[in-house]
Amino acid sequence: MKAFDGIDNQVLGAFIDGQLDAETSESIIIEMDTNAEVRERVYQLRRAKDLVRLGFSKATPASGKNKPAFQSRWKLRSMSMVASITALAISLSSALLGYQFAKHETLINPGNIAQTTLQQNPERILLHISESNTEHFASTLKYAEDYLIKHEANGGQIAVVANTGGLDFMREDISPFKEQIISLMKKYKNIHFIACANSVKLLRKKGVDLKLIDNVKVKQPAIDHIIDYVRDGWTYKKVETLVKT
Amino acid sequence: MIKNAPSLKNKIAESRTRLYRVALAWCGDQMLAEDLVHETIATSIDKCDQLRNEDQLFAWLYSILNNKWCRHLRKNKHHDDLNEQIPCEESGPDTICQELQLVNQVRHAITNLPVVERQVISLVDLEDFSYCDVAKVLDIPIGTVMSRLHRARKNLLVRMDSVSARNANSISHIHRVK
Repeated sequence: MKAFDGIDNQVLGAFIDGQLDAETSESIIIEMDTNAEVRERVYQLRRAKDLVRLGFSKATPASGKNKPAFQSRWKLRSMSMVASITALAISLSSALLGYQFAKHETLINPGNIAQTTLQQNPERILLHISESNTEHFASTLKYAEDYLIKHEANGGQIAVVANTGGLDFMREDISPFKEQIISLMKKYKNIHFIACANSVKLLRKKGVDLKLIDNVKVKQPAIDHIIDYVRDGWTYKKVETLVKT
Repeated sequence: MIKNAPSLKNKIAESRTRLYRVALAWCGDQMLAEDLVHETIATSIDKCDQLRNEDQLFAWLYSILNNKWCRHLRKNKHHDDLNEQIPCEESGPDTICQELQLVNQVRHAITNLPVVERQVISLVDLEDFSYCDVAKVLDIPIGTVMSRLHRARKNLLVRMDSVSARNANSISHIHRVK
């Protein structure tokens, strides 16, 4: 594909990519009509473009699912919110009917309701760990434990999702924090340890006799967990950021 | 800041396959591509409030993917082992289908291109990005985009033609043996 007749190869590339203005494109089309070599060069460039598409257009992630579950989950949440609001309205009406003397502000002050909601729904945290790094493991445990001590009573929840190297954290055979993880899971019901199904599959495929700590969940790829949780309103934190702070 | 965050997060989640294709073209390894995409989606969902214009979503996503990929390359300077992870181009049960074999050959050829060429060719040819957007995503001048793209296409064709020539030779060899 040598340069030819003043039409630079890069310009021809821009032509097939639709990056040229109409006038320049037209001049190339006219040139192609009469000049077989330019025509051939354009053909070769298009061939390269088609090959790239052929090579990757059908590639999909192994676990390739972009679940539409979010919408139904939102619907569920909306329904539950409607139910809560209805219940709240009923209780407020009862209260108003039953206690005529009570001050309205005490009962229906939005600030009070917001305060109650905040206390009932503390920030739910999703920790993502992807590197086999003892410092990261230790930070994860410390953060989780601090969080649980603070939020155990008011229903706080924390999930730790591990993939690739981070999986070592949850492996029964090599995790340096196995006992602490087991102890945390025994002590608190609102902590969840989740291993990436893809990473587990990959390691097993490589012949690693992988055994995870009891009660570590393996359901789907880490990214699906992350997407589900974040969509559901959880706060995502990468473990590296805990280490930095 | 974009107001409709749930819709944006949905769009990010739905872009997974697109990101994966480009990531695979860049790194040539399926698991690594998945990891890069995981990281990209996680980061973008986390930081989606930083995106000011939703029209720029894909450029923004690919910038993040590019950062993750560059970070990976920096951390793993000895990435020659990529050659071990590329799809096998030998004929086998899974490459009997001619198209699949061609797909493998293309992937093999692309993963053997220099990294900078792979990045540009995949964004332009797979994602139909304008040169201007590619320049923004990769933070390089448009002229560099054009020259890298040209080199990438040229190298790709040279590699594919040499594979075809090898295949033709092996076929004629078989004929001679017969």
